[in-house]
Amino acid sequence: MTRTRALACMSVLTVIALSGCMTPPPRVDYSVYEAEDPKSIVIVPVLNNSPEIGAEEYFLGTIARPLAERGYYVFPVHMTRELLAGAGLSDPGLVHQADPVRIGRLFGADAVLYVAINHWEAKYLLLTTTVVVAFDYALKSGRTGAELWAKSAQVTYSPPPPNTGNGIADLVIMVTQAAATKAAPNYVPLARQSNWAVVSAINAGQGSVDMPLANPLLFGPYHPLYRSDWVSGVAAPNPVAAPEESAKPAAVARPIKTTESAEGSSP
Amino acid sequence: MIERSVAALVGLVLLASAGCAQNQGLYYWGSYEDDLIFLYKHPGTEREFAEKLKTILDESRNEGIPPPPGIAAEYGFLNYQAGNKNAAIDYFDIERQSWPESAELMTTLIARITDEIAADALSSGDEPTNDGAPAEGGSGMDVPAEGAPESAGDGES
Repeated sequence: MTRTRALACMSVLTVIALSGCMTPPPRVDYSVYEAEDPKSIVIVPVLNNSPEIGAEEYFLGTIARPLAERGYYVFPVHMTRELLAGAGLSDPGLVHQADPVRIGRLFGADAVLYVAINHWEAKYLLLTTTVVVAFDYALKSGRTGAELWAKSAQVTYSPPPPNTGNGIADLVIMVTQAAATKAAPNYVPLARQSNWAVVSAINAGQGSVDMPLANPLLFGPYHPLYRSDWVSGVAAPNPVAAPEESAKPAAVARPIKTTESAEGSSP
Repeated sequence: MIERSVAALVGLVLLASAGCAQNQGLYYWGSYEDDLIFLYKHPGTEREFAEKLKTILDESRNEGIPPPPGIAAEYGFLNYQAGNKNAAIDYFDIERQSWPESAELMTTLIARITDEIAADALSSGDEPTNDGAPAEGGSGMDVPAEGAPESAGDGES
């Protein structure tokens, strides 16, 4: 038992040591998450509290992949939206306030993922367009409603600079890129990169994302490293709900468990 | 137990040595993300989306990499929406066989559609085509009114 735990700790340390991309903040408490051991996740429509119309669709369209690659069964995104609409929950605001247990029961899902975009600001700086986005992610139990994991983060995204080897050409490309981003922004890479950073603590893109890559979702059952990141090492015999949280309704409020914010470094 | 931990550790080191890049994963995705976003940005293109999903299912077989969870069910659902109810049942069943986590929902949906097919057949006088789907009552998908969110007075902080 002790040895198992030591090994588990070692695994975690190895991850941290080998990933070496950034100094991670301290690990958060995953005890409720480990005890519940969710295997399936239903993603409800993304709540967009920012003025950027349509931003939620970029996030919803790029969230299933990192979740599935993390090892979870992910309910089909389009079907989920349609079935929720059929249940009178087409409005993201309504869904986010509904009881997670109700949604969990509707799909037979172990956990429900909520994503809310709270801030969106595009800064056009002639040579490059920088987008600052703040969002909240929360994974709640579909069985008890308890919050298993949450992350508040701010990401500053700039498209990668061109590198043609020709300074003048690079400059021309950058100006053109910035103008194009302003006119017809392609936010897919931004959303994709943010989702990977939050779900997996992986920088999976070419843009620059300023946020600590730490405290991701635990590995799910289909991932080869499933349970290697558990502190408790072995599954709890019976899932225990966090008493104070299971009593609460699914509020928009965010109990601070994994709050991290990286200041956007503007040029 | 220890063996498993050691195996995990070895896997981990292998993974880490592959670096931060995330090119090869567990599943074959094709252009899934772009296709889904295209559907959102161009409502009414469900048929095109369905074709893309079918491509993912076909190509994943050719590539020998499993398709992601949910793709078969998504394709089945689009078939249902397009009125191809038997195809919907077939793909929901594939999803159920591939992913036990989906079994509860898939079984509910298959029972529903089976009922619909029977009802359609009755109204049109055709033979009902009940292709071996489980004969469970259509339970579950209707959200009971009692399930309304109990708004215990705390708002947001």
